[in-house]
Amino acid sequence: MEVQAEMITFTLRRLLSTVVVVFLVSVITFYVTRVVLPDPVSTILGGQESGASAEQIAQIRQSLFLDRPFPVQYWLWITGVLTGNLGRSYLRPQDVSEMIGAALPVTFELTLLALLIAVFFGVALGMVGAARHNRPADTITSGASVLMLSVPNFFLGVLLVYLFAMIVPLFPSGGYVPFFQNPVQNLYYMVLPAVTLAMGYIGNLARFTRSILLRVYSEEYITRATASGLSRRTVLFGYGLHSAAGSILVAVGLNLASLVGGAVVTEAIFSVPGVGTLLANSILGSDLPVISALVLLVTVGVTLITWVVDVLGGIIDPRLRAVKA
Amino acid sequence: MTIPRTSAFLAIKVPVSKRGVLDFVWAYPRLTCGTALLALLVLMSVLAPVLAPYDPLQNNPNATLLPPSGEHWLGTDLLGRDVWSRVLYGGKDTLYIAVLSGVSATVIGVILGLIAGQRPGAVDTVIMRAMESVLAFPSLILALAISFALGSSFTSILIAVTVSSIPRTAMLVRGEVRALANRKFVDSARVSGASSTRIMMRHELPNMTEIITVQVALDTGQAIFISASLAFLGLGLPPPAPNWGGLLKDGYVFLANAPLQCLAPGALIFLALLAFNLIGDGLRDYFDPRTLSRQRIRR
Repeated sequence: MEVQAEMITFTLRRLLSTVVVVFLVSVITFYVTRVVLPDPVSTILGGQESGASAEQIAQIRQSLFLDRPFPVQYWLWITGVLTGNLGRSYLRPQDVSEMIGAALPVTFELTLLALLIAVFFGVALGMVGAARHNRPADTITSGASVLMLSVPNFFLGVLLVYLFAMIVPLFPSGGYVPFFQNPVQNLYYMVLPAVTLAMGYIGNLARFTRSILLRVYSEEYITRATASGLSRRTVLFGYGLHSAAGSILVAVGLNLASLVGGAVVTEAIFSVPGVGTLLANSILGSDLPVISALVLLVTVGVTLITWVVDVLGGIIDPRLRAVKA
Repeated sequence: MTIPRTSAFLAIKVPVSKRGVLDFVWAYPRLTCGTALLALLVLMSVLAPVLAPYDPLQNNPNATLLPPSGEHWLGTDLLGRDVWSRVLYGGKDTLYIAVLSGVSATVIGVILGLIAGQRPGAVDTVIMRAMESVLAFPSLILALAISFALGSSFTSILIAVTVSSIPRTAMLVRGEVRALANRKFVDSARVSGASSTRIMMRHELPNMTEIITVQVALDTGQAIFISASLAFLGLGLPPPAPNWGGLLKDGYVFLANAPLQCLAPGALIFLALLAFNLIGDGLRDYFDPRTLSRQRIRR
């Protein structure tokens, strides 16, 4: 019972700070994408303000609530968002929610694939480094980790396109096939983008896993386990990895934001029609409703997933609850 | 290891200065490699006017989109400009904006962190919630939104790149201030009547030299990455002055015919990021008392 109560307090406390952060995120998003900006009226008129009368401009401003004070504008926008009304695109005759709805699953799939690749290889590399601490294998994996986390995704992506789509045409250089239309083709198109996106996180996770495992391995109960004759595999993986799992999970959650950010560039390289491409195009075309909605949704989505991962980490590893509190 | 940070700092400095360059290189390979790599890139950018065979801004309608040759090592672009010269010149803006942003992000972050750490309660809560909120945005997406809102200019990109780096430093410094607040030398300073500003500047800040130095290196690397990503997405520095991110983007279209136009600036961005990451790691080794003892034992 006591453990349960502790877990509930932990969950609620994390939820409370997440809610505060989400609120502030929405204010910042609105401020940056709507208030700092050049006048959106010219975007709607396609840069032809001269052709519109002062009345027309005033009417557009009024219909967009641009004549109201900031808190009122924010209130109107956020209540719209909360009731699922994201407005209409300035550039295309489409609802914003429709456009985002089409792009979101694509990015979700790309990010998920990259995450799976990154967790698998990152944790594996980190385990090799920790198990062979200060030996050649450790030096090699550590060196590889630095290289992987330093390589910018746009360079890696372009390099992979050149090597594996142009020199040796194994994979398509870009494009997308919906998963439910043809799963095999879909994965085939996703190989290069997912590897590109994952690379930096393999390096990151490898380093994190290595350092956390080294800390665990230096603890006394590990020495005791070795001394009592347990096999090396049981000690390293059974004991060591079990103890590190919670922290690794939380680290994966913390890296999620930059993974999603990286997806924007990766999608641009491989012309994947996801959220990143939509965001980049909307920014180039000054399509305000889409920009604000995307920035908000992505950030809030990442924040909520991070919260879930945090709580999961607390469930797996009780020590993390105490640290966070 | 419970060596107080200050004495560890001194303990490292003395033996190193006695040991000579080669020993230093041997003891801190990452710091050495990183610094050498960065020096090379800086040198290349500074010497661009001497090294570049052509004017990077000179259009030449008679020589557009030439393939790489002895005359134009990387070929020419759409306007007939020599790409190799543009790559050499492109380092200046790329590195300049990164260092400027890395330093300003650290300075602002340190100031916010010091204030939040010094004033528990309302001030701390406000600053920290704000930092957490900024941190909640994927850095690139925040940078995109800011540079979109402020328009395409040097300043707007500088702000966009800097803002997303501030929170980590601020939170790090705040944590450090909190840890130092319980130490005896801070207590004794306070008891002897030092103002909180004096405690901050004379007692706390000097004890954070190490983490701050590491943070500058990491923030600068991050700034290179973000500004080049912005350039790749078409929100970079305004033309015509070259920068590596923009060159990569411009060259991508011609990847099949002139791969080096795109891969060369990309590789330089990679090397710059590698240099700053190695320097960050190297500085951590350098400041870490445990590394020192390990080196000593090994010798």
